Amino acid sequence: MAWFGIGSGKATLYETLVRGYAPELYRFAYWLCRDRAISEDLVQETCLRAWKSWQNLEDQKQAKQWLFTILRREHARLYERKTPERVWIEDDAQWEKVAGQVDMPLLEVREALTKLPESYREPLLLQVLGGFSCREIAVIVDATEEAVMARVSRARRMMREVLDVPVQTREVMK
Amino acid sequence: MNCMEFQRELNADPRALSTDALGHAETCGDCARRMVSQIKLEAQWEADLRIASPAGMEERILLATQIGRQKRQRLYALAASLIAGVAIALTLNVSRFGSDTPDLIAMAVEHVQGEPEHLLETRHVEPEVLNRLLARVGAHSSGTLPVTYANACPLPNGDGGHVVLATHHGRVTLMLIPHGKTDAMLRRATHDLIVEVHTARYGSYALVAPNELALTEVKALLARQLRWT
Repeated sequence: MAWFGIGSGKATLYETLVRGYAPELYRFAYWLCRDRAISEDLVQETCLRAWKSWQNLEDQKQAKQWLFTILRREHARLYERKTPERVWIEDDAQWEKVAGQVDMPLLEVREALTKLPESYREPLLLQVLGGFSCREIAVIVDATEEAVMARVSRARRMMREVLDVPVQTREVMK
Repeated sequence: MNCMEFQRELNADPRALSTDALGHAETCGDCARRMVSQIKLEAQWEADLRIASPAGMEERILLATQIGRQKRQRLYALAASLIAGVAIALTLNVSRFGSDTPDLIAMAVEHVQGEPEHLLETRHVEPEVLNRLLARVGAHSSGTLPVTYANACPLPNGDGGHVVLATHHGRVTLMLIPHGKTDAMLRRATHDLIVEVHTARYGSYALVAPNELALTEVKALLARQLRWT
């Protein structure tokens, strides 16, 4: 697709970013909201916002991180009124207590993922699908690196637990 | 590094283990097995979560951005041409018609200039909505007009109506001005804008057209379909 004509460096880079990252953004969006139409809307809105606020991209090497940050904000904005209050569990003892109350059936990876609390699912997705480091995720989700490390660690433990536990043993966390 | 520290690092990011962690795995069989197992699991998760994005999504995004950009460019161009049109029209009118009559032309052009987006959008307008607006100047449409936008709008001396009509030669704005009377038809034209103000049953109405053909087509349409109360 010829786009915006010759000589537009911004347009060329934008097109490269869209073609390069839109599928990854879409996957991230999908596993956040589990709706294909909304996911595409989110990716489109993310890209349009990126285009409009291009001047905010200080370092082109950070473009992917920047796009994921925008998408995450768009998702939060979309679900601002629907999303229940988040509970951030940073304390190990508290976590064990919560995890112990959760009964999990044997689930496929996709189902198991969707059962994770959003505060765990989001950084895990950013790492597994986006390939981001904890430090980069910390910037995207506006948290400390230590907090992100704790969340992805717990997310992995929970995923392993869910996928390994025999059928009929546990109920899913709501 | 001990096994607990290794495990913490492994859980936090198995694909980015530090040199210390990798060194530990070389000397600890249990941790090496954990590492291999977790890395395999990560690959499985990534594969399982890798859903296909919709076909053509990137093209749609690029197109949407392009349309937005072109629309803005068209708006800027339109605004620029209208500003020029206003300046010329005002100059000509002030010199020839005194202090009252030129206001109607200027008012119509300024209104169109202030809301250029209505020339680009296409809305479905119910006939009764259009007729409620037309009633303000004492008119009624007896047929279907090619309306792409219609809404009430504030004018200096009271509310009026802003209607956009599609023609084969471009869109024409019909401004309904119930509180502005003219005794005779007023007309001013520049190379890219033609404005006519006609007497209505109540007040007047203005036509702002991009060219003579569009204006002629709209005038013929209105002559056929408007009934005056």
